[in-house]
Amino acid sequence: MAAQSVQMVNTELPDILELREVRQVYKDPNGKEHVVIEGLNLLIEDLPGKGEFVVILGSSGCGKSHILRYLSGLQTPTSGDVLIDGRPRLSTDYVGMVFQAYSSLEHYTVLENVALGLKYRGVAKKDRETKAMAMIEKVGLKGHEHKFAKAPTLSGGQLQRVAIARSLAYDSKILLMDEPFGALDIETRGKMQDLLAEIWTSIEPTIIMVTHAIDEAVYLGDRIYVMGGSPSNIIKEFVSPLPLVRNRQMKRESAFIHMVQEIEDFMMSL
Amino acid sequence: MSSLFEIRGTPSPRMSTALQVAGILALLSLWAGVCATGWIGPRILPSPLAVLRTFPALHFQDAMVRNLLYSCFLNFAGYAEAVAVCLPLGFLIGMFPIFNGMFSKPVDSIRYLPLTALTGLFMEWFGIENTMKIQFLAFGISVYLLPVVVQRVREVPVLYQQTAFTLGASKWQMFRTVFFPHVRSRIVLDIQVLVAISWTYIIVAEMMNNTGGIGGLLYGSARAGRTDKTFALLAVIILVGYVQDKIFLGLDMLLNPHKYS
Repeated sequence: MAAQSVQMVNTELPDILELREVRQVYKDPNGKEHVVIEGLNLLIEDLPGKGEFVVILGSSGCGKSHILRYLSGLQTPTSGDVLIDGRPRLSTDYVGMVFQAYSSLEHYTVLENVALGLKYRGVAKKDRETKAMAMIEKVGLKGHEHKFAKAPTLSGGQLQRVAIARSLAYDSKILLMDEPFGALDIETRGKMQDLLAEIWTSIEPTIIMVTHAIDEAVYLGDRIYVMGGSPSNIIKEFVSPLPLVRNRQMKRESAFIHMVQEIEDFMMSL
Repeated sequence: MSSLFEIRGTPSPRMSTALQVAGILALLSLWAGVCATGWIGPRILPSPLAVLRTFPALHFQDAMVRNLLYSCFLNFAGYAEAVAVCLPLGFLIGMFPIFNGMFSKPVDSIRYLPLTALTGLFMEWFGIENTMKIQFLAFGISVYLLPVVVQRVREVPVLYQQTAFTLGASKWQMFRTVFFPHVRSRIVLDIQVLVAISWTYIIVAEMMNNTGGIGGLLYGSARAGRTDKTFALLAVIILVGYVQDKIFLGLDMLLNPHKYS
């Protein structure tokens, strides 16, 4: 049954990312069509002075990673529009993405990995290394820049730091994250959440993150969308009651606990 | 010592070296022991000492070093040509559906060709001198190398490709920063394995119009019933193979330092 989708509110603010009436259809080996996403709309605006942190929650297979794939250009929807900065997405609109699996190129050092996007843009070696080093410092990897970006030379958390730094090093104002901390242990995951919260407040990119973890979504996101239904769609929107600057202490506050419970109750009712 | 009998146990580096030396000594002792019993005649199985004693004759009468260098030259030339042809072709077939669709089946099937049966054709096409030998060798290597390159290109993780794409890589940049380095990190040791196989083809190539080389010497020794010389030459090939392995390992460490960090 198709679910009632959330109505996106378009204000005066400039649009940064938008999906309009997106439909995704797959054919099985017998040629029968399966509609997995229908009438999906998503609008993310460029807030003054800060980027929005949007989290997409949903059960496995609901199509939440599709949203990131459309925005990054890794996939084109069967129908519907993908817009960046208010105009149709061009093949030259590149948006950095952090994947759940470790995606650093193991034949390059941390520095070379972080500088990769700048290299692709033709930035001179010295300049790109200066920029990359600044980002490496920001994600707490100073001292590791000449190590090869591979396990076990670097831990899982460090490899994800490389991926975050790499996606932001070329002044990207958008960061896509597909369950980036899913493979990490609880302690590392917590530290990475803190790091991401810190990066978000200091660099202020627009972040769209997909996750399974409700507490992670509430801790990091200031807008949370839940996907569900069949065909899938965005069926619920939650706005975080937490202040802009996040810290670990907030996880003990009633506003946080209440929201986690509210989202969990909603998802369990689906 | 008990670790030596553990399933998948790992002896210390010093112990590993000692075991390697002990293994060679054990095989030589077994060989010498069998010869000492007299059950097998020296024309069938010469003793290790008899084999060792043939080296001066092989050096001064048969110009073993010159012949060895000739074989190495043929091997190197054949390999250089095979790598020069197979790397670009392998990348094209592995990366682009158009070439994959057109050529992947023929590439897979060509391995079934009985190469030794093609010697007549190669003589017809390239004559009987070095060119023919090098072309035969290059073809013999390519038949195995090309499918390996294609396979290595296919093994490049899709995630690497997606990462480079989201960072804005053009197709050429994707090749240079993702596909080529990843394939290079695997292919050097693949070539090392294939170089070992190629000695078989060198021997076949040198037997066609015997103009020298280790294969030519082996052929001559066998025809003259000099099994001691044959054994000595086989030992030289094994030694060259060992040196080749070390060279390839050094090359791999140089080209792919991330594998050894």
